[in-house]
Amino acid sequence: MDVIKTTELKKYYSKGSNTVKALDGVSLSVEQGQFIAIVGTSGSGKSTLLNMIGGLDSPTSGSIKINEKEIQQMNSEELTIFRRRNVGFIFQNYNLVPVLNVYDNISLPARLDGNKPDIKFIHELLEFMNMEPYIEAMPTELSGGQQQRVAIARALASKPAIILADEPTGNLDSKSSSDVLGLLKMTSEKYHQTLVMITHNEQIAQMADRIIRIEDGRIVSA
Amino acid sequence: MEKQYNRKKQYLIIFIIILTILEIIWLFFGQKFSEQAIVWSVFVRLNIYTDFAFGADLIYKLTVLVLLLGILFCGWLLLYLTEKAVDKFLEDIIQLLDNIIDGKELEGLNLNQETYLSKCAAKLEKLHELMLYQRNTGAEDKTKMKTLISDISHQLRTPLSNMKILINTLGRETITKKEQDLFWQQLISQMDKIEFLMQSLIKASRLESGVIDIQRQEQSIFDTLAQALGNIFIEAEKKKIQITVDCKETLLVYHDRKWTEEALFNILDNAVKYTPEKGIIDITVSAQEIYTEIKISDNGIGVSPEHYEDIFKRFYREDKVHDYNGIGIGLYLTRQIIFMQNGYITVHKRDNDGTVFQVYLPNKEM
Repeated sequence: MDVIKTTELKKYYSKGSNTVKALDGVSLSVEQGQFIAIVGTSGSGKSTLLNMIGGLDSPTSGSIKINEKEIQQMNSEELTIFRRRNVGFIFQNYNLVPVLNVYDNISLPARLDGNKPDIKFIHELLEFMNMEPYIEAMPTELSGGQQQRVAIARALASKPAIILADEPTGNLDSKSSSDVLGLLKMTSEKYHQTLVMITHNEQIAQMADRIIRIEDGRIVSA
Repeated sequence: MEKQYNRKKQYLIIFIIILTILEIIWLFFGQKFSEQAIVWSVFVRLNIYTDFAFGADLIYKLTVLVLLLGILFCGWLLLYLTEKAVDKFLEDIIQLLDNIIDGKELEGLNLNQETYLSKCAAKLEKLHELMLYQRNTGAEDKTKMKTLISDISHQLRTPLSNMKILINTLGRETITKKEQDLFWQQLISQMDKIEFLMQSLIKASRLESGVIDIQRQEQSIFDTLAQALGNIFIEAEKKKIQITVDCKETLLVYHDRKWTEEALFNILDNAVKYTPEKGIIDITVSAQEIYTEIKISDNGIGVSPEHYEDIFKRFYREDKVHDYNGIGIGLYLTRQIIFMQNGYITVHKRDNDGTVFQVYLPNKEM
């Protein structure tokens, strides 16, 4: 089953007579468990596409099916719950909650869903990432690489079916980058998760099962 | 449905509370009220018709009874509705499970509500997906086995037929001693090739089927690297290739020494093979937060970018290495070994010439 399937996805922004075509008819399908890299220059539409897949943005036209369900027709409450249960997000600028410590940040999505967080798994993740000593630290006390690792733990903690990463290594040095990438690739393989990653780095893209290139809102090669 | 039952139950609970309060009030003050009730209630008429059979006392007791029965009835109704809600919920779950057993898609269920049924269904769908995946993996394993078997028969064909020809030729009486010696040499070399092929294929299939026990420990990566280097040292010397190593002896990495040595050896073997005389091989090992990076770079003939993925495939060899020895299985084994230790490997060009392999192994157990 295709876990993600978009059909002629379009996102147009119009102001007066100007129309910006962020996405101009994008159709792609992704199988569960694949690692997809989305590559493209600035403004090519990559982030728009990712946000739509994750239900953070809605298309002007076209359809998005996640697990065979059309998400562009869901109302706000359904979409929130859908995201919480199925998607883990990782952003370039980490987006940790600054007033919560590391553990609280990681367990937040699970607790929002009314579930008990998998404490054992969170500890395992932190231990593996070498972040166990920082479990009660606040985000402001951490370096960029450390914050991104916490953000990844947050995305992975509830073992979502889909992980969406928008330039996860964009703000990191090369050592932290290779750490973060290896971690994402390894856990997504281990737990059979679908990983969709935006990157402008060819070497990173190389590690993916498939590379999708976007230019001017369209796919140029898949 | 759950929401409907919840609302009914809420109303019932409020009703019971009101009734209970009334009951308490009536118990304490009811006597007085019932006396007054005779004055203005319908019981007046009843009293007239039945010849004053209903006294104040009786009214009081009747009202207590009615209130009590009311509370009991509401309680029963509450239990009944709860039981129905639970039954409905369980029926829905059973239906879901049936669908999974029959291998059907889970349809008609809104997974994105804040109800227990919805949560349950979402988890069941995940389970369902996992089961389908495992079923497919089983089928994939069979295909891999088929491919392996056909690979073996394909690869063995040439050396075996060569050997047949050589043996036939050696059997003739018309060949010279010199020719005989030459053919014996070639026969032995073909046998070596078959032996090497078989060993590699057995190793590959054992790795893939998980039969091999990879035993990892936190140990010095320097020692592992040293052992791997020891095996290519002589060849490198012959070609006057300069090898530099930058690795702390105290660096500990969680890995299997025997298999990791083999993985690294395959990369180093290629590096020596495909680097010309007086070339250089540079090895740096550095620890990061999660992984340790082992970088092996050479200034040899390099790999074309479009083949970065291909070189890790079984029996793949780029056209330009046609004249070099090898069967194209080394890097495949290397990647398998690294993957099985939760690591990964990348390759790219080294500036204008040569190749850089970066092997990442996790520092700790995951």
